[in-house]
Order: sequence, then C-alpha cells, then structure tokens
Amino acid sequence: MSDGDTQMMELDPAGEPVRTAPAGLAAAQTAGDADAGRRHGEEGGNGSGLLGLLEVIDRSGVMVTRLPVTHWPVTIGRALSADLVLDDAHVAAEHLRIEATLEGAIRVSVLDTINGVRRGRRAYQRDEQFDWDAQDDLGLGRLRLRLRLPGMPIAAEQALPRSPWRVIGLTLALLLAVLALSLLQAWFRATEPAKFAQAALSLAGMLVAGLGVWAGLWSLATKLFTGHPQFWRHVRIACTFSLLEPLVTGSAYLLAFSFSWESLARFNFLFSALVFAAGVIMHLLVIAPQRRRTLIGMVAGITLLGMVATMGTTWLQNQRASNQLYLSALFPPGWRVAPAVPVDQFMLEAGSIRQRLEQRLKNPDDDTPGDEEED
Amino acid sequence: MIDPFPRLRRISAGLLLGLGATLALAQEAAKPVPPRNGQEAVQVSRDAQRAYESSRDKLVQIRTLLRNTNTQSSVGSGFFVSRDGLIITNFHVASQLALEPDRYRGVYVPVDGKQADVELLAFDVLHDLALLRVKDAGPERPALAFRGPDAALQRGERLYSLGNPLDIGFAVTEGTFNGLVQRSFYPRIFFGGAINPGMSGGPVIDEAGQVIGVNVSKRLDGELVSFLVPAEFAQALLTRAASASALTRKAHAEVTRQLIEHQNQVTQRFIGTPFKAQRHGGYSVPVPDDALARCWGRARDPDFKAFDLERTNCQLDSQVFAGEITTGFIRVRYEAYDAPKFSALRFARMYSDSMANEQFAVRGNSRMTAAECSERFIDRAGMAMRAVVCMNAYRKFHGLYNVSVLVGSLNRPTQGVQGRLDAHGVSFENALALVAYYLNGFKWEGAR
Repeated sequence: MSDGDTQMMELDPAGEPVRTAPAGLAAAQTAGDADAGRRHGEEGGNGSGLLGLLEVIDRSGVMVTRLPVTHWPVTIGRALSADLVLDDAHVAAEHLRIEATLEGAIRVSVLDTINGVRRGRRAYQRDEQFDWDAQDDLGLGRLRLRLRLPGMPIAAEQALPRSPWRVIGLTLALLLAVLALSLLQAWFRATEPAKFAQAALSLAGMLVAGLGVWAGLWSLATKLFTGHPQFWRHVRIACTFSLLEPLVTGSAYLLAFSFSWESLARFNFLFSALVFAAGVIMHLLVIAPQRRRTLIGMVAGITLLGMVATMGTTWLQNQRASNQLYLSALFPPGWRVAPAVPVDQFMLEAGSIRQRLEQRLKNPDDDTPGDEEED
Repeated sequence: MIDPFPRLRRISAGLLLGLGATLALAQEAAKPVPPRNGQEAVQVSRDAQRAYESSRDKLVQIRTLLRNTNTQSSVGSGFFVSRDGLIITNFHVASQLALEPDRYRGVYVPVDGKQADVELLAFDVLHDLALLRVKDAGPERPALAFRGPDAALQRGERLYSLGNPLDIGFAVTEGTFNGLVQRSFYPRIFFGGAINPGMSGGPVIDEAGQVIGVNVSKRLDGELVSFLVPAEFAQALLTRAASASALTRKAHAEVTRQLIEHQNQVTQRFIGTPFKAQRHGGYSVPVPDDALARCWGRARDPDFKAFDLERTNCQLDSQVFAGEITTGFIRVRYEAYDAPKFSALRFARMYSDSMANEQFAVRGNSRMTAAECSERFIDRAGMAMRAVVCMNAYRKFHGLYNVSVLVGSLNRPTQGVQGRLDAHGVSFENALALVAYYLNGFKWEGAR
C-alpha cells in the first residue's frame, strides 16, 4: 500500500508542514545546496558560509523556490538581474532588497513596486524600510517569502512509518467493520432470509462502489493540490465516519426511546449533519493541513448555515423546527426507562393540543394562499 | 393542464366517485358505442319512456357559474317540488352557493333549455340535500310529488332515475329497489341501476311517477351499484324551509352546526356500541362491532413468511360531504405482529418501520391546520404501549378537528400490535373521548 502517508514532509519553523517543490527551478537551485538540508537541531553551523535560506511559498502552501543566501544584500523580483527570480505577475522587476545591517539586523527595503510588501497586517510601500526578525513571512505579489537564519530552531526529525502493516491492517479492519455494519443493518431490515442474501450482495457492491467513488473524488482533489492522492487515507476517513454516523444517531434514538426524550429523535438529522461535517473536515485536512483553522471554520459555518436554513424553512412552512412529528424508533421493551403513565394522564396531557391548534388558527400557514375570512 | 370537468369530479363526491372513472365516462360518452347484447335496448323500455315523459317538465339541470365569467363550475340535476318554484337537489351540487356565494351563482336549466337564476334556501349536509328556489317566480310550474310513507317500497320494485348525465342531455335510467344500504350511518337506498356524474340531485321515481329518492352517489368498484337519499329527508327539508329566506352570505356557521350535530351522533353511537374484542396471541384488540362498521381483514400476509402479520381495517360509513372536504367518519385499523424467529432487536427494527410509515398532516393548507401531537408511554392494564395522538383543526368550520391516535404495544420482545384510529370532523372533547375509549380497548391477556 503506497499511499501518501509515507511521503516526505518538511516542517516550517511554525510547525506547519509544507511540501517541497517537486521539480523545476527550485529543484535546480536546491541541487547545489544538499549540505544545507543535512543540518539538524539548530541552524547554528555556518561552515559553508551560508547566511540564510530564503523560501518562497505559494498560496496553497507549496514551496515554489528557495535561495541559499551566501551574501548580503539580496534582491528579489522578476528581473533576471535579481538574486531570487520569481514568476509572479504581481511582483515588480526588482521588488525588494534584503541586507544585513552593521548591528546584525536584517533590513528590508521596498523597491520600485506598486503592490508593496506585506508583513502581518502591515503593508509597506515603495521606498519604505523595516527590520525583519524573520519570525513572520513577508507577502509579495501572491507569494510568501520566508527566511531561515542560522541559529533558528528547526523541527525534530519525523520518523518514517516503521510498520506499514499496521496501516494496512487498520484500513482492512475499518472496511470490514463498515461492511459488517451495513450487512447487519440489511439483516435487520430484511424480513425474509432469501431477500437478505440478495440484498447482501448488492449492498456489498454498492458499498465498495460508493466508498471508491467518494474516496476517489477526495483523492483527485488531494492529488491536485498536494501531488499525492492519499486514496487509502481517504478510505479510512470515510469508513470511520460511516461507522460513527449510525453510532451517534443510533445512540440518540436509543436515548430518545429509553427516556422518552422525543426531541433527540426529532432532531436526529442534526447529529447526522455534524458527523458528516466532521468527516468532510478530516478529508479537507488531508488536502490542506496547513489551513486547519480556516477549514474547520469554513465547514462549521456552512454546516451551521445549512442547519439553520433547513430548520428555518421547515419553520416557515409548518411552524415547527422538525418535520418528524413523533418518535417512531422503538427498541426492545426491556430497554425502556421512562415510566408508562395511565391513559387518563395521557389524555390530560393531550389536552394541550387544543391551545397549540388555536395558535395555528391565529397564524395562517404560509402555504395557504387565497385563504379567506369567513362570516 | 386545467381539468375540463372540475366540478363533475365533485359530483357524487359524497361517496365514491373518482376522477379516473368520471373522465373515462366523459370520454366514453363523446364517442357513441354500439349496444352490447341488446342491454341498452332493454333499458329503454316503454315504462321508462312513460316515466320520462311524465317527469320531463319537472326536471332541471342545476349549474353553478362563476360570477365574473359566467363559466360553468359544476353541474347537477334537480326537480321541482312545488308549483312556486322550489327545487330539490344535492348539497354537493349547490355547496358553492352556500360556501362561496360571492364567487358563484346558481341557475337552473329545464328541458326547454331556458336558463334562469335560482337561490339557495336551505341545505341538509348530513343527508346531502339542498333546497333551491327560482328567483323569478313566474307562472306556476308542475311539480313532482313524493311517495307517501304508507306505501313501503318492495325489494325488486322498478324505479327510474332521472337527470342530466355528464351535461349531455336529460336521461332516464331504469333500475330496481334493493332495500337500504347495510351499515350506512344514515339511511341510503341501494338502487340497482346506473347513475352517472351530472345526475346528482335528480329524482328517482316509481311506476306511478312519485319521488322515492334523490340520486346521490355510486360505487366505482361495482356495476349498477348506486345510492339514493330517501325521499322522506327531502320532504322534511321542504317542510322545514319552504318559506325560508335566501342564503346570501357564506354559510360556514350553518354547515359547522350540522357537522357538530353529526359528529355528536357518530361519537355517541361509536362509544355506545361496545368494541368487539379481537384476540391476537395474548393481545385483545378493540374492533368496532359488525353492525356499526364495515371491516376487512387479512389473516396472514403471504408475502411475509418469516413472521405472522394480521391486519384489519374498519370504517364507519358515516362520511358526509361538506364542500371541498369529506368528513364525519371514523376509521380503525390494526396490525398484529408475531415473529418468534426474530431477535428482539431485529423485531424492534421491523416494528419501528411499521410505526414510522404512518401518514399525518405535517403541513397545513387552506382547509386544515398542520397537525399538533402529544406522545407518551402509556400503561394499559399492565401492558406498556407507545401512544401518539395528533390533531388538526378545521380553518373554516370552527370547533371541528381531525384526530388520529397511533399506538403500539411494548410488552413482548418479538410480538406486538399496532393500532390506529382516525376520526374526522369531531369536536375536541369528542376527539379525546374517542381516543381514550380506543386506547382502553387494548389489553394483554397473557401468552397462550
């Protein structure tokens, strides 16, 4: 199983993994600097005369190019005369210059550019200068510039997966668990053994096809953005959440039945939506792990919006937040905890319906155009 | 696409006419069909000719027209019952005049085709009758007489139904008297003859030309199975309202009053007639008595071999047409499950599916509110059950509701009964009384 789990990842100083550029100019530039990558722990050694390493990263977190700095100043821009040549239409011919001051600071001078340079929330315009402690990335055009200096801490070495069989075993176990759960559900639904045999075969086929398509689409997106499909990783995520969803909703139904908490059954679709959203987040994090907060916020926002829109539409149509009128999920009698009340008490409670219906009569439903007043 | 016969569909809606059959009849009528086996030739007998000739000048077609455009909205039949222009027809023919007088007006068309306005004087929703009066009194008209109560009808007696079927032209059909309909909440005559849409409200006369009933409906699933309102109710309406003023405003209040009277009678009779306890395994299930409701059951569904499933559906034949809706009936049904080969969880899954596939009015409309429900675990003489009661309120008939109660036993891991009662057009108090009466009918009598 050769999925993307074992690919080489490089951690930036902030601990965010970024993918190294696979080919092209950056590779050519880094080829002569193999010894720079052999340093570990702390970038204190400077035996080769390396003053720093400039890394250029695009918006998706992929490193576009890098420049080992052996002298100051260094100019960056699109012109071939620049020390670091960038291929971005929003970068000036000579966009900025970086140099070391006598005091040992790193100074950035913004050159002849209309877009300037961004540092955090601050934008620097043409002819401005500032000292750069290399803790933040600089923004120029649609790219980010990162500087690694001697003495800056680097992330510890990541171990290669030692036992790929564990990953294979986990994947197989998840697949089998999903299959078993689906067959169990089919068994519960089938009222005839012969029908179950038919249903089981088609179910297994549909399951494999469904998982394949779902994970395949995510793999496609992952391949597009990161270069590695990570198909089996997406399969594991899909399996995990396929198992989680019935577990969560089933538990909610069980609680609803046992304790007569009907609302849990009525709004069970919200639990399904939350589990689904969590699954989508996990898939997305495989594609863009460096954008964790953004992705979680985005999916959470969309999910919340969807829930509100669904319940809002139902409310506007029917003056209720859920269209499930009553609890229909029944479990074995012994699993009931809520007490059973005498018929008289039930009828007494049912008397409250009158007031609710009166309220509905006062507020004509929205789906009653042409409803007329009567004499 | 606009339905070309929107009101034809409603004609005889008081019972069982449906769209498919109505349109099929209309299309059939458009193309002359040769007689089969001489049947039609037999029906047009000399007696029928005589009956038609003696009644044709007392027979009218009733039309309701849209006030704005004068286009026809519904058609039915009627007949003069007094020389000063009183006409009897069905309520379902004239219901738009009662409930939407601002939008509709009524006209009558006699055999000579000279159309004139009519006004609504009174109606009897329970027996589906209406009394109309010609607006411009004019000269005295010949009228049909009712057959007296002293001359009882004999089974097999020849009768003639008159009317204007499908707005084609006046017609007479011959049939026989077959007694009263069994289990009908109100008396209905079982007429062994053909009635078609458009003939609703037309008279049915005997050999002497006296009215014995009024065309009202027919069964779609049978041949020549038609129903008449006995003449005594038309006579009573005539006596009660002959000198009444015309109804010019919306008559929802009067319809409601009559529906309340109806539902009181239905509820009292339903609760006053003890249930016939039907046993399934250890369960005793409430089923209406044979004399009260018509029940259909299936002992063992052949589609399901892994478990026993028995179903019974019962309905009180008490529905009344109240303009756009049919209401006033009670329906009871249950399903009994026994699956000893199933595990408790598997049974629970199947039992839940059965509980879930029930239909309730989730959405409201211009006639009804959406449903409001109440649910609980209830204890019926030591047997735990899940019960849910849902109700909808009528928007235009204040104080009337539809109620449904769904109940499922929860005392055995692989056995159970689920029941449902629906009562349409009942007061809130009667709704709760019916539900309580129904729930108290369930009992666990121990495993056999």
